[in-house]
Amino acid sequence: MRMRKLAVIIAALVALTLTLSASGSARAESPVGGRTPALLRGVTLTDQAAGQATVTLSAKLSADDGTPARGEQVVFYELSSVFGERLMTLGSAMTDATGTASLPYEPTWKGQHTVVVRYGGDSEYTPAQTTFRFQSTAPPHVHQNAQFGLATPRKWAPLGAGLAVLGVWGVLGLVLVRTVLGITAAAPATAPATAFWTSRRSFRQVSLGPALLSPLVLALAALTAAALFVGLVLPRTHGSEAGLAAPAAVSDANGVQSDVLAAQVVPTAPSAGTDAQSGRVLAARVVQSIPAFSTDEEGNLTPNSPDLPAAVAVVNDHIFVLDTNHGRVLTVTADGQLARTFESDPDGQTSVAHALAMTTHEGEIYVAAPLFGNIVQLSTAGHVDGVIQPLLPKAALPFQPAGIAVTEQGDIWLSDPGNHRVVLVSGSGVLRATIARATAASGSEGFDTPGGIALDGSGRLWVVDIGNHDIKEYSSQGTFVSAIGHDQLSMPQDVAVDGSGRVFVTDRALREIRVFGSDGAFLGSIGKSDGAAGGPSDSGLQYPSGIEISGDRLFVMDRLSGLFVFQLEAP
Amino acid sequence: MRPIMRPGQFFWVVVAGLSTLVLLALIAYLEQLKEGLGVTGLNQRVSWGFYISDMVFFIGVSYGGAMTSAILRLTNAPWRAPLSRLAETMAVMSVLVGAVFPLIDMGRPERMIYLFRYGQVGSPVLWDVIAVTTYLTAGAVFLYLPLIPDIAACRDRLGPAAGRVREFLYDRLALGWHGTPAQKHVLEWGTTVVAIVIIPLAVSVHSVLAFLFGVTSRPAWDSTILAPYFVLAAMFSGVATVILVTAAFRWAYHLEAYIEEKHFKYLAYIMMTLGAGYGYFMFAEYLTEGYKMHQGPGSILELLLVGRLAPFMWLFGVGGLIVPILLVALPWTRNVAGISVAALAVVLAMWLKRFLIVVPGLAQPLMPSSVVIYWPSRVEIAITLGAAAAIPLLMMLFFRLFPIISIFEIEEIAATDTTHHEEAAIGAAG
Repeated sequence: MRMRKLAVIIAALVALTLTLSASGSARAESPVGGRTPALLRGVTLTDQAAGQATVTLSAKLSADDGTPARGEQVVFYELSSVFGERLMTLGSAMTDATGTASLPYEPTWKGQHTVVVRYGGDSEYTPAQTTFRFQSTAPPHVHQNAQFGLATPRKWAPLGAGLAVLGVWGVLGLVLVRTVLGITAAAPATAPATAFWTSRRSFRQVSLGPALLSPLVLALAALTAAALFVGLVLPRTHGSEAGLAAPAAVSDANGVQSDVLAAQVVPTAPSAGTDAQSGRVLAARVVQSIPAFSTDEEGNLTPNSPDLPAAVAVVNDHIFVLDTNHGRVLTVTADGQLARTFESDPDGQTSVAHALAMTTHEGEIYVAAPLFGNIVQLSTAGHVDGVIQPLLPKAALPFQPAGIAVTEQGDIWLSDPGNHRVVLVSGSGVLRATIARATAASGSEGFDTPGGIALDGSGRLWVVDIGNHDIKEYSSQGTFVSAIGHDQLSMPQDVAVDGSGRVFVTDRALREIRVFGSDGAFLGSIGKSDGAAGGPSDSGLQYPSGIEISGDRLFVMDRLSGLFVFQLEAP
Repeated sequence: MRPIMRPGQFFWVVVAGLSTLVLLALIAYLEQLKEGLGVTGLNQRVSWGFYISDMVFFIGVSYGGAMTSAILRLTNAPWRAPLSRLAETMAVMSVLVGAVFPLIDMGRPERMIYLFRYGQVGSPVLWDVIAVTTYLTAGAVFLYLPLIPDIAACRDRLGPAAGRVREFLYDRLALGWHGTPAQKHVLEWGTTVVAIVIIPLAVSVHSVLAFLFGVTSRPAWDSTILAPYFVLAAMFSGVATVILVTAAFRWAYHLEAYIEEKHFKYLAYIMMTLGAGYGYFMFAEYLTEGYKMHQGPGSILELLLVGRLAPFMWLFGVGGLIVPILLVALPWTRNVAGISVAALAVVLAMWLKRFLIVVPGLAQPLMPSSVVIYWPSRVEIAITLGAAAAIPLLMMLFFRLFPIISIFEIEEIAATDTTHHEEAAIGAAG
């Protein structure tokens, strides 16, 4: 009996240790070179008051035992989606006697902000990182148009300038016509017929008809009309910017003409149904975690460090990480480190820079690359075995796939978030099918920004519908079957299905993995955050994106925290 | 007339050399068109580099040429006759070349149409296009009208020997000119009106160009005197270019009998005055900014006067202002060679000054960040050299068709002088 209790205590301690290592975003992995592991916690020190624009970001650095680390520099970043997701430097600050570093910051948009704080480490402490979020409520003012005075003169100034230009054109036209006509008409009657269009007629006899037909006069008239158009007509229409947002007609794969709107904004606020979000916590223990970054002592990323990795793939128990912002594929070595397997030419046809999706098929890695909208096929050794260029009908926005899955026959499903469609192409890129119209839609009609996709064991297709906050199920032929998770998802990103038909979905806003039965029933969450949205969090998952299942293991690629491997229990 | 009929071997050698440079520029541009702006040294911060510096420079040079001719024409300066054709031709060819640079600076030139489709009437970009187009048209009219009598002279003196194409061209463009008093009256009226119009037009063109910079939120371009600053710079570089072009064509076409040293001296005095004025503008701007040293303009000033760009700035100040003024001011260097060297120094220095206006203003960050380094690529250098070669090339080709010196004006002025002499003689005898 005593031995049994001892075994339970040891098991609990092991589980506790593994759980703590799962929250590695805030804690260094292990002491390095005799350095003390550093602990970094991020908090929003000062919330915005009503009408206040500035928020104070703060992070506390301490040793593992809680001793404050003073005089150390930490750098604050914000996760930005401008030109692809990346960390935008906000500034750096030194820690004070309490280990706290603070940075005043003026957010430029309302809503949720994700802040990453990094400490590069030194001879005393190991590097550390933490992530937290805050809501900006104050109205941003940096992009507000300044209120100028002199409204009336400003309103009429362009008209005045336009009239002046017309006046100049009028004078030039008058001079040209009068001089040309005058010289021609004043030519002596005995002179040979060498005038421009007529001769031997007096100035008064010269008809204006031929003159108006002269190319110079026509050119003047055209330019004057253009100036008139620009000066008087355009001011009434340019402000609407209707031309930029106007629907453009395109055809889908079936040749159906449809309207395509500009790219949809992905909502960041949690969807309705938050009651349901407080679901059960499913049993899944972390068996491995690798931080999403490593820095040198100056705080710069080390050569092998990924930069916001987005996806993970597993081939024969070898784990591959898609290093999105570096355009690389990394592999996890036996000692849990990341090593470069494939490094693409950033501008070449095989570039995987800013790729978001990766999958495997028959021992090969398939990366959906957005730069040329193609698929780069790699061997596990990192050799390029092929580049598949999908032949898709023209759409409103460039084809930048965000999800990929390969069927047993070698056909490839791809999601096209910008054009709200999912396409099936052959291994040579020939279009076989298209799901959804090219406009944002919901329910069985289509998608609003489709994201990750996956195939289950029976070949059914599962698609993350980011904008509609649900997961769509389709038959292997692309026929709509059902939509699940609408009340349980906020910002779903990727999906994976295990052997028993359970559907696993990463959700960035909820910072957890939501699990559903094959019938759509919500089963519970994995990696559930320990704080309310917007508050500080030490939970392991901060920005979960790619997800993959291999056997009884769940691989989750968190863009900020790193790779997490969960051991799944049987349902 | 000889250059029209029988250009020497040297002409073709120079044309071949200039054409090669233009061809290389064209190849470089095709590479840029195919590969995108990535082949240039431009980057996200410094999106205006050599190209916009070139545009400001060439349009400014054009303005100087037109102004020189127009002012001398309106003031009825008798010594203008051998210079006006060169100045006016240079003005048109320069603005033709300069106006192309905004298109070259665009990675996707076909999107130029959006400027009109979605044009903002409050934007100086739109007005700049309108102003340059208007100025180009006025410049062409200003070149054409005084050319009519000379075209008639070509028609009458060359006849069928000019060849069928040129004979047809002369015949049509001469408008039946035979120098009757009525024709002279109409032509003088037209030329005078255009000369009056082109002066404020040229001022407005360069002012709008200055507003293009001035209304952009960049500390380097915050100066309230930016527009007159640009106008003065344009006149300064324009007159220097007229001197340089005149010296080159005088030497190449053996025009010493028409263009004398006094013409260079008169132009040099104008250039010296404008140079002194430009130096005064710089002093006024830098003194006020340097005294206050506000964060934005102060950092730019530091960069230019004592920082990384200081060697270029002082090279401009000494080589482009002080040395040319001294070369003109000192009597023993005030000759054709000395004045030409001074003009060459001014032209090169004024291009450098445009570069120092455009690039540091963009490279200096608005937020705390590192200063971006801009260095032109071989594509930009090739296109700039090609553009510089295109202007004399176009002028040489133009002068294969039309007289390089205004025959009509020289004859008119000579006739007026003779009349004055005769009247004076009669008066003295009486």
